[in-house]
Amino acid sequence: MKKKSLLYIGIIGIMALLAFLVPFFLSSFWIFIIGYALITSLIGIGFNLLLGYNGLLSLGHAAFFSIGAYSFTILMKMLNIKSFELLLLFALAITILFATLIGFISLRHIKIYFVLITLAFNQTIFALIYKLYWLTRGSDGLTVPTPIILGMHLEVPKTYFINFCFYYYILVLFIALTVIMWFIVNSPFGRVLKAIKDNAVRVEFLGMPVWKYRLIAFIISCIYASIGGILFAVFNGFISPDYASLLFSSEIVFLTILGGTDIFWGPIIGAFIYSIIRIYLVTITIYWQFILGAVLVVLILSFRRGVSGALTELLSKFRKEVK
Amino acid sequence: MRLKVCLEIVDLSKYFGSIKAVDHVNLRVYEGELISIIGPNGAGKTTLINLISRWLIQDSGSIFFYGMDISKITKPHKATKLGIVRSFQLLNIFENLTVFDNICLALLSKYNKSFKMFSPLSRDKKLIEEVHRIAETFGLDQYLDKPAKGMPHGSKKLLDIAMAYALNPRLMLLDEPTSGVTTAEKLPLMDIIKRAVSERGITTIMVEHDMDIVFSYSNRIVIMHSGKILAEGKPKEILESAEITKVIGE
Repeated sequence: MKKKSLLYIGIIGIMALLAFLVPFFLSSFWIFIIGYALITSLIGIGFNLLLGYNGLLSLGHAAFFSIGAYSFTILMKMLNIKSFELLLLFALAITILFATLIGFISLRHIKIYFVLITLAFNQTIFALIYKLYWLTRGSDGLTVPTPIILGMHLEVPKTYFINFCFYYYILVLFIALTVIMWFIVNSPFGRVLKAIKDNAVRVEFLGMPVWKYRLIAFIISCIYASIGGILFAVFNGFISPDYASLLFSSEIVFLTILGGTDIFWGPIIGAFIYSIIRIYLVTITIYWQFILGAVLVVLILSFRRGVSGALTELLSKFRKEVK
Repeated sequence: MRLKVCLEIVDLSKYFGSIKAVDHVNLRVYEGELISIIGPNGAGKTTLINLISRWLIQDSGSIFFYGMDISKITKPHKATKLGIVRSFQLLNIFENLTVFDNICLALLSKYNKSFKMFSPLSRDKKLIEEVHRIAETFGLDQYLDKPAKGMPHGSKKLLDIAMAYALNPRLMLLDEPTSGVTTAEKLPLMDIIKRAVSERGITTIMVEHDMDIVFSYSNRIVIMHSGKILAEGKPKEILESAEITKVIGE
């Protein structure tokens, strides 16, 4: 057990070190890919709290990603506030409001009803972003000004700010939020979530109101999606309704399942594989969607428990052989 | 000595369309008793248990638990928090979780720790000790680290009851605790249950089909037929009544 923990700590340490070295050795293009992968990883681990730990499939996470991104950007422009942290708090307050409302409605009905209600919500937000031109600039999208992070007025070129300062900001937030999620899934609350996935009726008869746990998990999950949206808005410098579409919701589901829902690190692995393949393919061929689809079908069929599941099995096989 | 009333059921009815599952039932259960409800299939025994545990809502009548009217409670978790717990006719455990987690979940609920998000369970030594103690009481200690689905059926039944017991209830409802268990296992299983509930003086209502168990372990027997209570009494009184033995024979 101790050896296993050391192995994990070692792997995580190496990964963190590599991530810290990215801006020094890689081009802007790769910094963008890694930054995007870190953001989608965050969304993935938040999403997995619902899917992997609670058995709830939401098709509304793109909406929460966009609620974060748009409320952050609109508030920044309307109120002329530059502080990233302050705007983050405002945007998260709006996210929590929506998440509570949608969770309250949708979590009374689970399984396919939950999927459909979250899908309907997603399409509503997508339509609103598309139609409220005076606020969101519709399909033209919004450019996102550079915010002030940690109250520091950094007088650096925008490219440097994004590829260096903000990249590290994303990385630190990613580490902090991953650690928080790790605590959540290993806490008593996390155990109750797993139990609900296994047998919700019995949880109720053990004296625990199932819908409250589901609601809290849903809100946490939406907060992660929203933070992802906010980070992406600044990192990309531009947001459009595409990120509120059903397609983007499906991408979140896809990368989580690709990485594996059984294992905590699964969605992170899935997000990295998905982001790298997706963005890289766009640059090399106009048929990228065709190749992406084919590659992903092969990956999903080859790894039924996701890539992380396959890696775990491989690792345990290797251990047995060494013994 | 005057016995304290734990549960009082007054004129309770539950209908499913034209079927009278529970039909104007009146029953008083005293603290510390172990009552068995018997009767043919469709007599309304499980429906009565479902009504007391608030899985079902009555059409009319009232249920008082230590004088408190619980008939307005519509969620089982609220009844559990008052001290009314149950086990199930069909296994109702967390099959994919370990035996440790199964018992632990009940304790998290009991100590109102289930919403804690930032305290790993491994640090809660007291809780872990209690899980081990309960597992030992029910003979499940050898399975603690194993998924519940891998255990023999008799042990799964015990786990179902151990989870209810871990909540430190005031009233325990056992719906066919020995169903699906081999004849050889039944008595040892009942011995474990009886010892556990006696130690804590838990009032118990049990639905059971095995008459040997019913007559050996109950303080009082209630006979239901077509949703009504046909008779109640001590095991000896029941055995001596010819009319009742005819119903039991069905």
